[in-house]
Order: sequence, then C-alpha cells, then structure tokens
Amino acid sequence: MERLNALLAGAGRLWRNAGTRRLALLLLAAAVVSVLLAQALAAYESNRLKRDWLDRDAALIGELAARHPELAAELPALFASKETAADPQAQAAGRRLAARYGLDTELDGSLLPVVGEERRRLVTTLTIGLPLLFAALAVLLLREFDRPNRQIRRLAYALEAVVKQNRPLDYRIYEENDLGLLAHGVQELALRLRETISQLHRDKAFLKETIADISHQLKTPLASLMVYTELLQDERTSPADAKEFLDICRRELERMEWLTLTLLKIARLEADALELQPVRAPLAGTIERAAEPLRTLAAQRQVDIRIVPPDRPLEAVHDPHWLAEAIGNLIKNAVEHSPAGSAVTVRTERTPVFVRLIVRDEGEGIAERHLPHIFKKFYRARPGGGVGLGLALAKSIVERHEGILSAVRNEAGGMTFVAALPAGRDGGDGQGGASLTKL
Amino acid sequence: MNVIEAEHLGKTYGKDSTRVEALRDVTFSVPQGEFVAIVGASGSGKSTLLHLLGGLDRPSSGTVRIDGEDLYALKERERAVFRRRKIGFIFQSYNLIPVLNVEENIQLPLLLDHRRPDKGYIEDLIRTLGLDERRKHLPSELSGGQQQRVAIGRALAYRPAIVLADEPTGNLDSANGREVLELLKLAVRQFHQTVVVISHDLNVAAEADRVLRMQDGKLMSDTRGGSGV
Repeated sequence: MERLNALLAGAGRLWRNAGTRRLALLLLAAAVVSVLLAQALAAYESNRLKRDWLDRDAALIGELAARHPELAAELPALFASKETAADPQAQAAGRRLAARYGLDTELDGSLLPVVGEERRRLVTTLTIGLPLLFAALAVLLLREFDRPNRQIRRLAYALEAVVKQNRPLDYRIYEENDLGLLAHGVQELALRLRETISQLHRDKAFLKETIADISHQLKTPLASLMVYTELLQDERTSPADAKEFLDICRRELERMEWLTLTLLKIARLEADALELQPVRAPLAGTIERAAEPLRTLAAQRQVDIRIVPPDRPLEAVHDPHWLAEAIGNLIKNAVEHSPAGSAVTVRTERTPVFVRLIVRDEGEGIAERHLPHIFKKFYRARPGGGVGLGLALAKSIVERHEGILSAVRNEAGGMTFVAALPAGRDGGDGQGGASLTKL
Repeated sequence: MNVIEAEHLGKTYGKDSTRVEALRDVTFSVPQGEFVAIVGASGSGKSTLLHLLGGLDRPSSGTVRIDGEDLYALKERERAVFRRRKIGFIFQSYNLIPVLNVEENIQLPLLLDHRRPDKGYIEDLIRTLGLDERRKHLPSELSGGQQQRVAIGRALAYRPAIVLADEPTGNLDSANGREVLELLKLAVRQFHQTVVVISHDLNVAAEADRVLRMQDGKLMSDTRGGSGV
C-alpha cells in the first residue's frame, strides 16, 4: 500500500510539470497517428490486393473458359470457393503439377504477379513513410526537450550577472513546474546575497560609528584629566584644591569606565558577539535582581519601586544576568524621571504569544517628538542625568532575546515601557534547529 | 533596497455618472524591513491601495514594483505564482479554509507548490504563535484572536518578503489586537520582512515605523511615527 502511494505521488509529481504533460500528449498523439496510418495502409493494401487477385482470377477464368467451354459454368465457383484448399489430395496433385514449372515456394516472390507488386508497394511505402514519421516526431520531441534547456541557459546567464556584478536577477520564471521552483530558489538566493552584502556594509558602517562614538565620548573626560593632572603636578596648587581636583579626576575616570563598558556591551550585543545563556527561569527572581541595586537610589529620591507579582508565577526562557541588566536600566530610567512620593511599578503578564515585562512611572513622561529617538545611543530627552545609553542597551538586550521593547505615554502622565518576549520558546538551546528567528 | 515601489498609482471604478476615483496619483517606496501603517477614514482608498500593492486588483494607471518586478506586466498566471511565493496576506476576516485544521491552513501555500514543509520551522512558527495546543482544531473551534494568529502563520509560512495586512485587528478586542501587532513587529525585526498594515486604529499607527495618511484617494502625509522602537 505504501509502495502504491509512493508510486502515485511520484506519478503526480511527474504530471505536475507542464513539459512532461506536453511530452506525454505528444507521444500519445504520435501513437494514435501511427495506428491510424497503419490501419489506412492495411486497408489500402488489402483493397489493392483484392482487386489485383480478382483481376488475375478473372484472367484465368476467361482463359480456361475459352479453351474448355464445358468447364465454364464451374470455373467461377471453383475460383471463388474457399474449399478448394480443403481437399489435400487435389492440392498435393496441383503442387506437383505446378512444381514442374517452377511455381513453388522457392520462387522469388517478386516474380509472382499480385504478390510481387504488393511486396514492392509495401516496402516502398514503409521505407519512405516510417522515417518521415520518426523525423516529425523527433523534431517535436527535440523542440520540447530544448525548451527547459533554453530557460536554464537564460537563468544561468542572469545568475552570472548577479554573482559577478552584484546586480539583481533579471530573468524570472513564474511557472508551476520544478524548474519554476528552482528559479524561485535561485531568485531568493540572489536576493539573500545582495542582502548579505548590504548587511556587511551596514556592519562596517556600524563599527566605524561605534569607534567614532567611543573616541568622541572619551575625548572630553581625557582632556579634562590631562588638565587636572597638570594642575596637580603644579607645585602651586593648594592641598585643598588638589583634593578637589583628585575627586574630579576620580569622577571622570568612573564616567569613562562606565562609558567604555556600556559602549562595548552594546557593540558586542549588536554584533552578535555576545553569547546569551538562556534558561527557563522564574521572572520574579530576575526582576528582583534588577531592582535590588536601585533601592538605594530610589530611597534617596523618595520613589517607591513596587513589584507587582503576577497571578501565577511566571517563567520565561531568558538570560537572567542580561535581562536583569535591561530591566534595571528601565527601572533606573523610571526612577530618575519620577517625582518624589511617586511609585515605579513593575508588572508581568502573559499572553498566549508573549511574556510582557512592564515598567510604569508617574513622572512627566517624554514628549511625542522625542519618542522615535529615545532608544538611540546618546539620545537624551532632557539634559543632565546619564549619558544616554541605558535605554539603548536595554533595547539591544531585549532584541537579543528576540523580543520587542516599546515605550508609550500614559494618559495619566508618565511613561510605560514594555518588553515583550516570545513565550513559545523551549528552554535550553536557544540556538538550535530551524529557528523562526535565525536568518 | 526598495522592496515596494508604487508610482503614480490610480484606480477608477465605474464610468460617467457612477465614476469613482478610488486612488489618485499615489507614489511612494518602502525599503526593506519597514513597518508601514496606512491610515485614513473609510473610503479614503487605503484598502484599494493595499489590493493594488498585492497584485489582487489591476490599477487604472501607474505601476507597482515588488523586488524590482513590475507586477502588472506579468501574465495572470505568473502573477498568481509571484503572489504565492513573495507576498503574505492577512485579512480582517481571516479567510481561513474551514475544512482544514490549524496546521494545514498554515502550511497551505507550501502545499500548493507541492513543497514538503520544513517541519522544524513550522513547529517553531506554531509554538511562537501560541497555537501548539490547537494545531489539529478547525477554524470554527477557535476564537477570533486565535484565527487571526493562524492567518498570520499562513502569511509567514513561506517567509515571504512582504506581508500585507488589511485591518488585521479590526475584528479583535484590544488585547488580541495588541498581540497581533507585536507579532507583526517581531516578524519585521527577526525575519527582515516588510509589513504594510491598513488600519483606522490609531494604536496601530503608533506602533509603526512610518505612517502614510490617505484621504479621498490621495496620499496626504508620510511621517515617521513611533513609539521609539
């Protein structure tokens, strides 16, 4: 039964190709035409044979009747009857008589009347007709056969232009057959190639940008350090001033350290150079881990960090260390923008598709015009505060978790940041198999 | 690289006294990987525009190029094949095949091309869409939100370059609607696909990278929208 199904599937696949169908039709037509022609030839020949045979019989009857009028009445019956062959003795006697005149089977057929002519006709017709028939069939078959080859040739030339000159593929085949599927695959491959090359250019540009960012951001503190170090080396500087200058140097160095580390983190994340270690773990733990280091800051600003537990403990596949850093940045951002006495709420919710981490503050919110830019590196919606990398880093981390980070203004004031992570992942190996999200 | 290029698109229905100009001289391009929302009131021409972009209807004037291919220069048959392989559609009314179950509906475009679907990929898709427990169910046994997710799965099964969605959240409540949008954004980001969504829902516009506003068949504005994503 399996074999039968496989056979039928194979036949179906064959039949799907328009070319195969045309070929099958052609062969069927050829077979039908051949049979019809053969029948026509047979009909013609037998008709001819009948006429010639009767002519001969008539000639013989006439001759014999003329010489032996007494047999005249019996002769036609004798010639026409099939039973003349039935009497073996008569036939044997006849053969002996005929053999004396060389009229036996040894005689060359072409010398016999009727038979000889028929043979000649048949041989001529077949010798000319059959090759003609085959030639016609061959021409049609070859044309049909070459058709896909022509298409393959054109596709090959177009592909060469893609590979050698990075041009788009300009020959496309939109047929339903196997060649169409191959052509589609080739088209996609060509697109992918150009995409990859574009991506490489983008990566290069990104690298240049990152290097430029780092050097630019470091120039100022470095210049500062140079100045203050010179001042410190100057003997005229008072101890009080020296202490202040050292504090400044310290702060600048800490700033540089944080800057460098964060920029490098972002660069590594975006260049996919960082290996996340995703595990299936409760989110509550990760959130706590994120909020803990910020409690002091929150207390100083008199802002309450409120973690709202979900109805049921939620787990998600994530890297706790990195996701905590991302959430921490969101919470820090919220705390820094919140007025004293307000609360920053951290909630989680689960839908069939996503697990959402929601950080909500009651501050003044971010103006509409800033919203498209807040996740960009070094963007600051208000001056002062951090250097503008916290949200960018959070976004990179969430995106490496195959999630989406978005920000929305609250109607009641303040901002809500939502990190949505796909819920459907299984734990452990996030890199395996035919993943939805790997290119 | 521009995935979609529309030039001087126009569509007119009817003649003489019943003549309606649904679209007038619409020109714009969409680079790869963008999430575009087309908004406007009823009758502004946005549905017509989407149908023209997807090769579902013939324009009265102008051209549509997808991945460099002039859509309406192709023969009807070729266009059908092009659509199947390059464009994923999501409709407001889902348009699932009622006699096929979830898995079969999702795999439909692949099966129509007699391809053997990549099991691992389809698995991943179904799980990401949250349809794992319902994979053998028929559409009649699913909620609206679930049906729309199946429709999204079908649109993504072939990993088409473009996903066109006509009011995908129209028949859904806000929670499900939000879900659908986030899924579409995920697709844009992770698959490097390009998504064009029609909606009269302002939330959709807020989530898009770019918003095209239509009015009376004309393109009124083309802005960078955003919730900062």
